[in-house]
Amino acid sequence: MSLVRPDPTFYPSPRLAMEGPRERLGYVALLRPDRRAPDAIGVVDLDPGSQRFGTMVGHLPLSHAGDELHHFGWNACSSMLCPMTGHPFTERRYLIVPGIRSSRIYIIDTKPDPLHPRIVKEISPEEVMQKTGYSRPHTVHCGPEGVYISTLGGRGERGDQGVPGIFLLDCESFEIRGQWEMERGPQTLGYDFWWNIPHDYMISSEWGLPPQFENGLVGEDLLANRYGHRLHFWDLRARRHVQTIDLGANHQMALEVRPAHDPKKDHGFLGVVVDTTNLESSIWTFWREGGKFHARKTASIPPEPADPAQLPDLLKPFKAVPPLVTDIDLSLDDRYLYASCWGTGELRQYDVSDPMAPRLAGSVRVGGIGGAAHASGKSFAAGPQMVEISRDGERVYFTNSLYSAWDDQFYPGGVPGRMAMARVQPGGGIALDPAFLVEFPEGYRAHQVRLEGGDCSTESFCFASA
Amino acid sequence: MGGAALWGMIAAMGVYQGVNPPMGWLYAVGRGFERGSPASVLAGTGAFAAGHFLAMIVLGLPAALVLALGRADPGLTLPWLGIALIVFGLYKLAWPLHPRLAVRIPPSRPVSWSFAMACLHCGSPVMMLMPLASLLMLFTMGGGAGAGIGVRAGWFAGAAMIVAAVMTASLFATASLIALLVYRRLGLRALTRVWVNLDPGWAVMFVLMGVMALGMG
Repeated sequence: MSLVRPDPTFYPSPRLAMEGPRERLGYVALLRPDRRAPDAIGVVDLDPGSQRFGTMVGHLPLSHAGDELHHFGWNACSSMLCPMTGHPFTERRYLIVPGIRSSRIYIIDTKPDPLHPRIVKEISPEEVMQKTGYSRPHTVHCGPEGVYISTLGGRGERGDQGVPGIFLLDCESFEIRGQWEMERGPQTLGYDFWWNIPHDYMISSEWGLPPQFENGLVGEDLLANRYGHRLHFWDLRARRHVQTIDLGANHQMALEVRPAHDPKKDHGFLGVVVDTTNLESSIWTFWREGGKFHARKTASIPPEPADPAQLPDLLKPFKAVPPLVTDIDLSLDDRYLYASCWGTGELRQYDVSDPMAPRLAGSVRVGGIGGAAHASGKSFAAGPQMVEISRDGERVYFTNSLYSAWDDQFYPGGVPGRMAMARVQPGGGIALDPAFLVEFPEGYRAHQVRLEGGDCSTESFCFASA
Repeated sequence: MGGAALWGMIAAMGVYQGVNPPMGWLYAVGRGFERGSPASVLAGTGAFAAGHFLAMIVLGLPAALVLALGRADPGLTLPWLGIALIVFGLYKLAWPLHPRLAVRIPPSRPVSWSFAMACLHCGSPVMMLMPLASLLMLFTMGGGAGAGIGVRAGWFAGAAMIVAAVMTASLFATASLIALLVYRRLGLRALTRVWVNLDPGWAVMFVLMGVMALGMG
């Protein structure tokens, strides 16, 4: 299965990826919180010339119920062109799809018919545990040593015996190759990770251990600041922890890590869900300078006051809705950072041309605990959550489910699966496309979106945009 | 095969390695775009060439000295070398594996990376033994047959150094030319257009060299 030429969906630099052909399909993680049927991968038509644009045109049910699909990724991406670690002749073809609840991993082939992907391999939860000592797989990235998968849990029924970490999967045979870390230092929690491959470092973040999320947000843990609030920096090739930055215990749940795509730049962004002193969400900028890493809060989003009668039980005492920034995503030109405020039902666009001073450039409102309708007039439960930006930076897709148990706490009325799209205006600003609202079948919720040919949260590049 | 043909073959192998993107020009282009200077491009190809040179010396020099001190006809090694090259080439064709150890070497150490890749993945030091042993055979068949041990050792070691130097020079020249062309004229977009999978060809070359070694021996 080696190719003669590099896969045409690999791009040397972010700029070349932006200039490539636009996406025609999106793959969406669809979960069945009732666990009466298996979760599924939905295929959405994103080709504006197609009759079925903006509808689900394919649907692959998995083989077990209760996996809880969440994040997923490709077996290969633009990092395959990296000069000293590349595998340029490996095809971008397989989706690596973990179940965050079951710890099962599906390998799904999107060829020859991308509308009808097939399961070609399943890795059992027992095998994941036996070969890595980790459970609850989360972020999937393709990189220097194959496919890297971060986890949230360690050993034991509850996943809180031992420490979660990152493990490696071969990008062609899909055999688990074991734990990635050689020296983990003080890291004890896991969530997201990403890197700068030529500059040889990784950044990882912290959510919480499985007992802190699997049955819902644990209020006491949050008020006692027991969720993660640190960033970890690693030597990527040496697989060694080199530095920790504590954001302060009140900055609970340091989630998505988005380094600049241009490998020449040594900065990136992090989203923090909630500040327990004032319910704010925040965006942090991290950077490397003088051989050390630094991080600073560069934007904060305030909570919005609300009538307790309108609030779910969890929020009634606060008389306010926290924004709950639970995903951020950076356009390939490193110009716009999108932040989804899942609580208040807002998608924010920040101009981060000056990474130390993000400037709010656009916003759309849909859903949220206040319940704003979609621009089409149709209902949109919960709020913007997983965000994915088209490679050219002109379209921003988002779905509405966070995590089944948390959905139920914040949106007890239910979270029917939806995918919406905002169009980016030249020079900044975003507007919802009233014609684009994918309604997934009854019983399914929607989480991460992956665009055919790569997107802004899958691709890593080794060549600076010339 | 005469001496001139052997030297031509050594230079041609350098060209082939120089054309292969992972063997230097790709890294040099990346470095050039990051630092914005043609000098950094050449420093990149230079580092890769140095790693390859070291790998060939590390194997070629002791091999030449052993042959010198053994006093036997270097041509006697050719059949064995031929078999080894054929087996290695067929193995690479059948199992085109990705290098795993080299990805652990940090990008700040291109000389080490190139050295490790040459030893573990490309096998160029082994391949170079074939023209080296052939040249030494020509030497002993010619005027060098009656040379004393010192002269013989000096000649053999010198030949190993020159073989490595010629291969390296041709690798460096080729890789630098391509790197500068992509960096200055063609741009990054050309990168995926000119990049073809040269690994199977390299494996075939091993088999051909092996066959030639059998023919010479």
